Amino acid sequence: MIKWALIALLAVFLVALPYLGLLPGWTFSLATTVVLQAVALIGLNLIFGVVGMLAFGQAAFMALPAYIAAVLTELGLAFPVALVGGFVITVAVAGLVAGVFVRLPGVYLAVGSLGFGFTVEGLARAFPAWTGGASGLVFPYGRALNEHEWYVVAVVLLVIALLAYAWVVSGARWRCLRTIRHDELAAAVLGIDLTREKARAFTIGSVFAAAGGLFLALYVGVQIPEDAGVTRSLEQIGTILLGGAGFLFGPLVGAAVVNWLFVVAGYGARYELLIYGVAFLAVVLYAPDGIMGWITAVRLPFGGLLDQRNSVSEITVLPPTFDQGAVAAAAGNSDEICLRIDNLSRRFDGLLAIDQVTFDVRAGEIFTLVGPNGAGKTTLFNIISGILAPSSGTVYLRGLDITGLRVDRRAPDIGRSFQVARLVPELSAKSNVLVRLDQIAPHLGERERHHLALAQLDRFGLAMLADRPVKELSLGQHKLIDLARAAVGDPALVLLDEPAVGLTESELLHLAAVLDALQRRGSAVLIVEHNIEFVTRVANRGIVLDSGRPIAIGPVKEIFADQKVRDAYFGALT
Amino acid sequence: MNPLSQAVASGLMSGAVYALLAAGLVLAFHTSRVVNLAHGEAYAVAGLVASALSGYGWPRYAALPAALLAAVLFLTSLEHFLLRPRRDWPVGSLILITLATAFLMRGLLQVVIGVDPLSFPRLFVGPPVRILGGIIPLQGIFLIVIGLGTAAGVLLLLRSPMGWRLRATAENPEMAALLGINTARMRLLAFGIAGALGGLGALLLVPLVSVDYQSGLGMTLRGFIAAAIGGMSPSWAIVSGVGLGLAEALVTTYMGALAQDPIVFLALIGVAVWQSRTIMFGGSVRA
Amino acid sequence: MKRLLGVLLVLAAIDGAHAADPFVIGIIAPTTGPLATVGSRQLAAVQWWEQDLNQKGGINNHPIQIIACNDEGSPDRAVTCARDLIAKGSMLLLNASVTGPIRAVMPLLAHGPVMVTPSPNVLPDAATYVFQTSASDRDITTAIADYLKQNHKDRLAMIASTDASGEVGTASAAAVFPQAGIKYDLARIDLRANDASIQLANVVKDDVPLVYSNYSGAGAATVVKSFNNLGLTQPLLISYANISDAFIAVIKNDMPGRLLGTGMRSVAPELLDDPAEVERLNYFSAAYKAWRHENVDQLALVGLTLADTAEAILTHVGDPKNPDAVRDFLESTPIKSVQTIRFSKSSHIGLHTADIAILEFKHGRWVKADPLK
Repeated sequence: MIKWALIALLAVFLVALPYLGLLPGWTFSLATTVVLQAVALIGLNLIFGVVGMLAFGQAAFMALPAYIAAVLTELGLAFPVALVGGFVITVAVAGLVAGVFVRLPGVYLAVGSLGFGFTVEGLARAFPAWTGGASGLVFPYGRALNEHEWYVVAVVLLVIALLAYAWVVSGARWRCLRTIRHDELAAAVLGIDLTREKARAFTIGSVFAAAGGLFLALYVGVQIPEDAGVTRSLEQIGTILLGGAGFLFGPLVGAAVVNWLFVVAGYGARYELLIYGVAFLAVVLYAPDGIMGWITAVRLPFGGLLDQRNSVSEITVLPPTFDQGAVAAAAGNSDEICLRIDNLSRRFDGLLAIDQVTFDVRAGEIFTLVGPNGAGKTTLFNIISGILAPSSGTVYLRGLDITGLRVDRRAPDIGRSFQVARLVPELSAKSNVLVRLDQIAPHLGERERHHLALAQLDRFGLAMLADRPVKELSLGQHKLIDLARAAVGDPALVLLDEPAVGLTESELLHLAAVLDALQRRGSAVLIVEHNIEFVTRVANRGIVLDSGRPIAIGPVKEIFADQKVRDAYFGALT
Repeated sequence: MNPLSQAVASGLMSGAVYALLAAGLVLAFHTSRVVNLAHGEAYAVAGLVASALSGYGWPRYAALPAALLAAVLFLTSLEHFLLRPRRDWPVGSLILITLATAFLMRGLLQVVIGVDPLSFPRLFVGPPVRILGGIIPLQGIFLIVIGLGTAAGVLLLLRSPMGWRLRATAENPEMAALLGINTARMRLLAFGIAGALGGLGALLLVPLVSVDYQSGLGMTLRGFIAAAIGGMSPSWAIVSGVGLGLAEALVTTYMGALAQDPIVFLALIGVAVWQSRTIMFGGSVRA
Repeated sequence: MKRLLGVLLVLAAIDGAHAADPFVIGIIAPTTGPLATVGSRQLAAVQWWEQDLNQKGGINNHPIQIIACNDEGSPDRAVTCARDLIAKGSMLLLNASVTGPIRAVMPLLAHGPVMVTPSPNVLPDAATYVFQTSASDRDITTAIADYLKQNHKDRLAMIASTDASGEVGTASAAAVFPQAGIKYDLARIDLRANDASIQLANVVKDDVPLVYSNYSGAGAATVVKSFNNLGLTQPLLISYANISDAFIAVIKNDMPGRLLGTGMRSVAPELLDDPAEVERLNYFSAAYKAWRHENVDQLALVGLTLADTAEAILTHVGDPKNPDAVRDFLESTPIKSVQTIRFSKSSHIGLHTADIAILEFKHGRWVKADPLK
């Protein structure tokens, strides 16, 4: 209670700051500019801070609404229509280019978006009759308001923007975007359509940029081509990083500090840029996660509440009447063939990693895949997951040919764990499990999904760790959470890559119990394992691969008794 | 005069500068994972020091090496004092440090040198050379030859055993150290060479144009574009640098300077899309 | 601020009387960013004027207080600067920035204070409180056309950049040259260009008598050097913003056969006929050089016109805080500076074509240009 009251007080103080005149240089004019820039930067914070996409063209999306509105006015539309039109068309353009840009990885996105910024700036210069050219576009529509009125408008806009952002970027979407940022491969395997989610985030970000940019143009009254350009975009990335990338208040803090620093440095006349540079460097060296990162790390009284990065929920206890079978189970009787691998081969530049492998796994069966290192087990898993395509052969899941099916589309029916657990460190254990549920059971409400995730963790004995961020947990616990996540929702097929590695005896018991439960529910389980003793305990049948070729297939006890298998593991004596 | 030959001559000169800057960026990147946004400041430092010293009457054989040394010292100091002690920080924070350093150097240059653009006399004086209907100054020819040659040399370096050590230092510093590679020295070497490359670019180009306290960021941008469009890959840095220079010159010649940015950069987006068509997950530069 | 304190102490020491309230004048000048050379020089002239006047006791015992704000050539910073300066009590605004940021500031002055700017492309409406002391770019272009016609030439090659000055230059050329019967070839050059040879090769044909480079940014040196690289022999006419020692220093190893420029007549004192103007010029040149250790150049002269306008206002207008009184004064009274600036009820532009001269750099200084062969 006290915390919230203090925060409210702080907020009121900050809004009233220009009226109070306590901070030298913090005038209405500066405050309005800062607030409007912050609105636009919320978008870049989403794209860059939350999702990790290094996009350099955001200033272009800020400048486009005013330019497009000018063109529309030129074409005869009344100015209110033109303003709305400018905003809408900008967002539409963003949606179009989003599809192209988000497919570009890392450095290519940086340079592609840079190109976009240069292009918009260049076009603004090239058509002065439409855009005012290098001399600037005069945008007189905001003159009706005075300084104080503009400040109020700006603050209201910021509040709306922050609320909209908090609403849009929460829960499932937050988890999804943070997973994409941390590990795109895992995200895809969990069912996240990378392109669609990144494009959506990009477009949503552009909405904020367009709104902030349009209002800035209205406030300032003049827009020049450089406002769309790359220098401006570079400054913005710096501002986001300075304020704290990914934090809710990062953009506001960053914009405030950068602009105010410049005013203060201006009192130093000639030394202006030097003072600015020194101050910038100082912040960067001592607050590497940005100012908001420093505030939350230092555990200031409001720090925890301001840390929006970790989504903590209050759901920690299962209601007594909860039905564990709520997610449509992969019902199957043991006569049904779940997975069929038919004559699969995979070649890597001359190396035949998998050579004409064929086998079936029945529903409710635990099938093991063993072999010495380099035998092709992980390659086979990757093909079944969809990360790799086979050179020849087919993969059938419940009778359907899924060989060409995209990775994320396989997620509802295939759950997979990894050799080294691929979890998102900053998210809690429950959130990590939720990521898969978000994708395969979107029809369920948030609360239901939380309950399911908690129940799943409970099965592994991890319920008490549900809300702890994964980075605070041990590697063994990571493994179990990864397994829990792979199996949640009882998919038709569960792929486990060396699940027993690093587990203690009691953890192995949990694992065995879970495998048993999966079996009874009708899921097929495919395990890659080196722990022969464990697989002999839990598995029904198996296949042994050596240098990509199957050398034994059948019930588990038989294949390990086979002489060829012993030769492969221990070396033939002849 | 043949407009096409003129365009090629002009484009090659630009391209040589792009390639030199890209090579330095790529070298530092492959040794430290950091995209050094202060790289262009090495160019500005060398250019301004050479101009200032020439202005004070220093002879060329003293002023130019002093300028080169200043550029090398700048980048090695950045690496040694600011980046090295924080080498376990996330890459985004390190890149931010380089950006802050660029701002700092820009402010410093403004205080020390002032706001006026400066220049100094060419190293290679002589009548302009006429080739196939295009005219190029003698210094321009050396810019192309030395610029491209040096850039190529650096890229060959990255393929040599020394280069493997440099790259190992970035890929896996702990392992590299265990294997006996002096990672600190490797990084200093890389940043030092990067500084020399930026400085060399200034020594060759500034006599043909001018330099001021703000030139740095623009040069960093050019180097970044050329390096990035080649995927930060050493093999592609020269090709993309020269390609970029030629593209700009050709578009300007046949369509005017106003068309240059929109057309060249739209093409750049196309190249980026093409280059990344096979990459499925993630990318190398991350915040 | 510090300067004012020092001045006040000196004044107090000298005559023991309290100084009257200072006259506060705000000046917006880009001292960083791409226009830093332009802004800082104009600001320097105004700052010279402040300390020079305060040494003499100010105006009617009122010391002058200049408050400077850096707008970096950016409209949003300009708006913040203007609002700040007005809030700090500026009775007058001086604006040494460029078109875009100046246009952003203009709507804020609907009720004053009066703003005086030397930027040649503002072209303020006569109903506003904004006054432009320089000739417009069109006037400058007309001066070039007149020079060509006087020498019986009717062709020109022109280079203009892709920034605001280039844009205006392009428009002026289109408005002036065809009407004067002059055929011209124009090539635009990108701000980031390393080399102007493409543009020059494009427009400089054999029979062109004059090449005009309107490019006034830091990259203008590139045009001159490329001109030299191509071995061109025509006279090269550079923009008024480059008439300075600093620019000559950059191009001194690449001087064209004949270097011409457009500028105020006061750049070459022998072109002035009013002895008062000459006296002001000589005084300023000597005092400025002693103060800043740098020769006066075109930009400093332009800055001085701002200062002298301010001085005239503060000396003669009873209530300088009343924008209408100031406007009436400016519209009816010629301002004596290094050249006479005349505004009127129908024109807020103070200098015209006749005040511009075509100059030539000979023997280390700028003089009236020789004829074209």
